[in-house]
Amino acid sequence: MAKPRTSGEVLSTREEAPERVISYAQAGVEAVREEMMRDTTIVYMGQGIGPRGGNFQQARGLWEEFGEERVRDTPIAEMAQTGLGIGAAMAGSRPIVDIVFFDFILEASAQIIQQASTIHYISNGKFKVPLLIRAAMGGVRSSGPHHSHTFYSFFMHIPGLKVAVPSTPYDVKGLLKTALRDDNPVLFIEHKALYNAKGPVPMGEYTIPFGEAKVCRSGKDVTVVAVSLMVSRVLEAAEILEQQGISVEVIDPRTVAPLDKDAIIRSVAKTGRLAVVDEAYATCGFAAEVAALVAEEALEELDAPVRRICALPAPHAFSPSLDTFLLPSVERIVREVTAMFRG
Amino acid sequence: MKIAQEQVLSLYRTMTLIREFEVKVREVFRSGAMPGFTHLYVGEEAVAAGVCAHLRREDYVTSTHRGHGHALAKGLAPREVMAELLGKVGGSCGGRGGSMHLYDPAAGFLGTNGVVAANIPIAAGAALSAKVRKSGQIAVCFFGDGAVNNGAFHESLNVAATWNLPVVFVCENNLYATEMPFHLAAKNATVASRAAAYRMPGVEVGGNDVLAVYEKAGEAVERARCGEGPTLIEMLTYRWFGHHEGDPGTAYRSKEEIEKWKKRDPIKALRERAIDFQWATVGEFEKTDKEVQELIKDAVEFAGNSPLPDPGTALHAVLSS
Amino acid sequence: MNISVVMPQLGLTMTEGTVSEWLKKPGDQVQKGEPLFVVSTDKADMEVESLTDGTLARILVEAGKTVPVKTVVAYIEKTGDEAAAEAPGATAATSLKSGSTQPPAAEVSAPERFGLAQPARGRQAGRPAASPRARRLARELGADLSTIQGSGPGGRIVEEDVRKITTGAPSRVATPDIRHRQLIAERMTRSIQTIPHFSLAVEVNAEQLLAAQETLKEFVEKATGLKLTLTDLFVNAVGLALAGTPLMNAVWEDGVIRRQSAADVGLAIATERGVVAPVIRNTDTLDPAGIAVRRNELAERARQGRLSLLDLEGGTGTLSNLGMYRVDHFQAIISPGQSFVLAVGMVRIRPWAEGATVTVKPTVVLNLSVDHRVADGATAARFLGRIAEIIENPMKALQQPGGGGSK
Repeated sequence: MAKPRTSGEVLSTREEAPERVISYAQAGVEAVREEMMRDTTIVYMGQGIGPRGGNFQQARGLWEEFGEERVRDTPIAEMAQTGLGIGAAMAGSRPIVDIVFFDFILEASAQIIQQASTIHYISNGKFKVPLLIRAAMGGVRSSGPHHSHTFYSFFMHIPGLKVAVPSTPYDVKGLLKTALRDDNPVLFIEHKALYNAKGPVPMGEYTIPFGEAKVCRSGKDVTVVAVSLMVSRVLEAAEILEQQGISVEVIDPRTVAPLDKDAIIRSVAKTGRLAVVDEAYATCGFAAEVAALVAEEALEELDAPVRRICALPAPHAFSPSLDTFLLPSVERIVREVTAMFRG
Repeated sequence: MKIAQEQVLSLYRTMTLIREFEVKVREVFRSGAMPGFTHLYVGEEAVAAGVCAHLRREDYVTSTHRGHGHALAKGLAPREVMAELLGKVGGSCGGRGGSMHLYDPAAGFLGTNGVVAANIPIAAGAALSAKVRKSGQIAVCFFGDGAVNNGAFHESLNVAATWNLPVVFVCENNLYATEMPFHLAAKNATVASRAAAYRMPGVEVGGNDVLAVYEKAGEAVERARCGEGPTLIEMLTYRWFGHHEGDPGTAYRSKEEIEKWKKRDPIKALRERAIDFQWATVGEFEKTDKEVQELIKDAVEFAGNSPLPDPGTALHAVLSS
Repeated sequence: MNISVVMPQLGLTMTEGTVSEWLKKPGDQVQKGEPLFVVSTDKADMEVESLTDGTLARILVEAGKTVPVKTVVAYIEKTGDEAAAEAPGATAATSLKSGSTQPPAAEVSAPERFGLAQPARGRQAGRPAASPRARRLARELGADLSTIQGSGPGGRIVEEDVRKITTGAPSRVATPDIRHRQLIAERMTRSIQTIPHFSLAVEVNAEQLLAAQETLKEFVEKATGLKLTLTDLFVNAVGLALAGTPLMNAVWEDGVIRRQSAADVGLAIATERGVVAPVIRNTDTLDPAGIAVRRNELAERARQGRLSLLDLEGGTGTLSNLGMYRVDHFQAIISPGQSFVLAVGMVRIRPWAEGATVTVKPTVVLNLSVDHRVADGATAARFLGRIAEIIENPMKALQQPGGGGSK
């Protein structure tokens, strides 16, 4: 267990170089901490985010620093947690509701979709709902059918919500800070398997706007769009494909609502080919949306059909052999992208 | 119980406003001029009036699908509510919400709601915000007997009690959830008794006696404001009409039962008692009646003249910028 | 477990190859070393062998398609003890490690697509399959899609196909024969355009050449079982002369003259598909028998279309003998990468002046074309002179170590 932390001992007071390498989880903690210091209306609620610091250490040190009024452990009641978040947001607070495992957001979906997403619009702009809902999606170590889902597209589907899916520590911090200054309901969806991934994060203040994609790798033969954990797999596949003579351009939208479709279309105009790699299912998912967008707005840039490289349509089986087979592996990505060029 | 005379007339006024408004809504709806559907509050006026009499403008209320009464009692302008029911620009929400989605931040009104029990955690959340901000505000949550078997009810009451939130949970037990009698939906067909499970005070009140409502609601509001946490109040009452306009309400309720409850008309009861005890004169009541009529007339005229929203605005304000 | 089969790098300069033929089909057993498919490059066709035992599981690149070197063209499913150990029922340790990231490719292709990327159904008859990008380009450039061969999957016309047609570059056409001719066309054009040719001719007395052939043929037949041809002796002469004219044994490459260390001479051989010119190495060190053997071997392979890239690479110059036809003399085009070509005409009886008298002798006209960047007229003349000397007295040249002339 982690040693007891004293109030005030926080992560970024150490002597570090202007850009240091920290973990995805730490980046999130820093963002929340900085914003909670800046904005006293922020209240953080969730299961296990108090003294425990969060199941993924995603709230480490916050309870010690800000106290139990502003950092509250909740009972296992995602629907009420979220409803309370909505009410508090309408009443002038800026709540963070941590659902922890994204799968359990389903308990809260009625509150998110029927209440949170509609209130600003239906009240004709009179009420704002500055609510941040935080959760970790995706599979890790055979997490199984109840702890592996990636249905962020359900929420991308609903007008009135913003959805972020960061893939690196740098993106986590920048986007989370932006989210905590946004007056709309935001779903901030991290990935369980990325919490320990390390990456460079600048020391000073910075934010990343929503709706701005990142070109992770420049290429000329095919555009591959991916989010979250899939970004690193696609980059790995791109290295292999490069050796086989296929030059891959990798785009990470970072937020899916709003989505930087211009970046995607610009890239497809250059390469002529598009594949979307998603840990979620193909049917009615993010990949389907990107394919439809490009077909609708840039059909004549396509030299080949759009390819969706997604989870196979089965529940998340437990056994490692099935688990890795069902989800897009580097090898499958290489094979499917290659097939776009021949056979 | 000591009650100021002005308060009696005020209660009467609120109840009459609600009654006359709802009767007018029924008339307008039946004429075919009102889109959507509507759920009338006639018969339950004492609850809204008695509870909201204790609330400040900045206190919060969340309401149900049967919420015109709560809206008017909390201070929304009748003309704005009527216009909203007709989907007009002059409505509380510019016509975007209608009957089940009435919002008014100026009146602390966090919305009527089309989803049973969904408003309960929202009220608790508003109370949480008030507590953390130490603002002295409280929240009141209205819901029916149909909501108390729903997960939202249990989760919200548990958290509210555990966190000692300044919220008053008011259940309007009118014995039927749509067409389902309470005793067929729950073995424990009572509400106040459930409070014990969450270790919060539970109070049962004859919901058609506005003074009893006023008294008990006052105690609960006081408790919340003093930081003593939430209360669950069960108001025993009855709706005269069906669940929604279009439902006669007689397929699942006997004529005798309906008549019995109509005789317990809360407005008539208050008026008679007030006159008996000389809290107010007939003249004063009649004056109030006239004022209410004027308000209703104005509401109908205003709503009728207000235009429908321009489709060009349909995509505005999906997000706050 | 699946093994990738890739387009091999068959020569230093090869960047892409065309699969001209599959020798196995999916489901066939394959043995290590067994020829699996045929690749055609700009030099020749060659067989590619399997590097493993197994079953050909899936072909990714159809015959007729051109792909860059190292592209995966097929998968072989490995059989044998290793595979058996990976089957369920093996020990927990091996089943944990094995196969967790190696799904069987053949089975994955159907379920993983789930009908998502089926070939287009209901296409109108007569409307060529073309990508939207290709259609747009064709429209912009006024190209007729029905005249364009598609190189994309399923024969779909892609942007590149339209571009190539409209810029005149050879498109990727399925039939290797047409491609071969186009490649020759490309090479010869390149050669004429980039190499400054000049040529010298000499008529040579072939009397002694014929006599040498008579003398040597029995010996050669006994030693090799082959018939000694005049071509063999010509190659011999060129090789010796080349070794004796070091200034001529060089090629122009990357803006400089590069001396060659060996006297490698190419020999033009006519095949059904067109002329090829495999190279005989170190011709100066071979005797006519040795040359005959090399010549015969290369000619055999050339006719079967089985020359390797090594056979075709290098060489300082080429010998082209059209003497079996009724050609007195002709000029040939230098092969790109080389610095000369010797065109040999028919050996026939012609008038011959000796002293003041005119007689008749068997003669042959040699026409040497030279890359002026590598050699001037004098060098070329000396080289041709040596060739002529050797042809006019082959036995003398053969008897001298290292051939005639100064090195």
